Amino acid sequence: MPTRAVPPRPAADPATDARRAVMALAAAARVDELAPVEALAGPGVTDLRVPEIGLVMVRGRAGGSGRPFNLGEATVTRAAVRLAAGETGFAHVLGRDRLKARRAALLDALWAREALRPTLEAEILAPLAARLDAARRAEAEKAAATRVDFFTLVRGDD
Amino acid sequence: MPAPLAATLRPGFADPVFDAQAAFRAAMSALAEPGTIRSLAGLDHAPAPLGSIAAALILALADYETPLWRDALLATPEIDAWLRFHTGAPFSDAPDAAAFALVSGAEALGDLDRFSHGSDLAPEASTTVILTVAGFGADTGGVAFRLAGPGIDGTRDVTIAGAPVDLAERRAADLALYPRGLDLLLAGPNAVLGLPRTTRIERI
Repeated sequence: MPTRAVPPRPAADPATDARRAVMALAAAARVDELAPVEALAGPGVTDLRVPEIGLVMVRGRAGGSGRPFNLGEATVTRAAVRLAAGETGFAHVLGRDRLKARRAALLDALWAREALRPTLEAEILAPLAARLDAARRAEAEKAAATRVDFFTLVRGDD
Repeated sequence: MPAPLAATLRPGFADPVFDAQAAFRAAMSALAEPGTIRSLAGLDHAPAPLGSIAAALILALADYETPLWRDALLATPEIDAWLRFHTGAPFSDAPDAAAFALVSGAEALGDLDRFSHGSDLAPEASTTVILTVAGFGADTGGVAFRLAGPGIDGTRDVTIAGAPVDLAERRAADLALYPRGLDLLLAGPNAVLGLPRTTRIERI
């Protein structure tokens, strides 16, 4: 799946922005890259919403500012969990991977625990960001290598 | 959703698809064969005082286009948050604008005329009332009723504990309104019993 920058959104407080950034990474992750959250979450996790698959209508705007229109439906999986200590996590991910949705929700819940953020950063988020970055760069380089610059030496109408 | 309530929010169905289908099937069968007792695995962890059967029914039936009315006892912040999270249904303060009404017991049922009976053109737009009762069966010491009408071969006798004692009289007026009318789902401790608008009820 191509990675891309998070689209512009209404300004939120820094805490929400950080949470969004974490969830954007989780959305682009492979399911195995999120595996460490299971051990970190520990026992006693309540599935507020057992992972379920459904459709969402994806809406678009031409140029980012035109009239909103319905682009089409996309399959998403959503999940909501609560940790034993009471933190809740919510996640929607594209596709039909229930395990990934649950792990993303666990990540969201664990992110709420400030003391755990360095661990999450080191074990999951930093390697994930590095991989996505490398993939993005490799793709950009591949595209750049095929670029042809055209320029005119002599105009024919002289 | 409000952050403080997330810490107390209860889970919904353990298996959303099959559990909701089982609850829907029980409700449908209960209305198709009025007076039969359809046992159902309820939601034991539903927020009190919402009963486990009523909780399973409303989770299976309600969605974002079915306004919900609930009586004062059931309109707690915890139940509201739970219903909003799991069903997405809007709340209605007017009983006659609701597609589903959650009623905690006979004393909270009030006048049946305050619920929507639909119109002659759209009789299905009526309110479906989910009334919590204490139990079914002769050993519950409840009130005995004799039912007749579509879905019943001859008559069917039921004993319902916790139903309004004047249920027969209150439902009799509705029969003349057909096709308009109210459908009632009685939620017992572990089963559901349907009393659709077509059922004639007689106290015995």
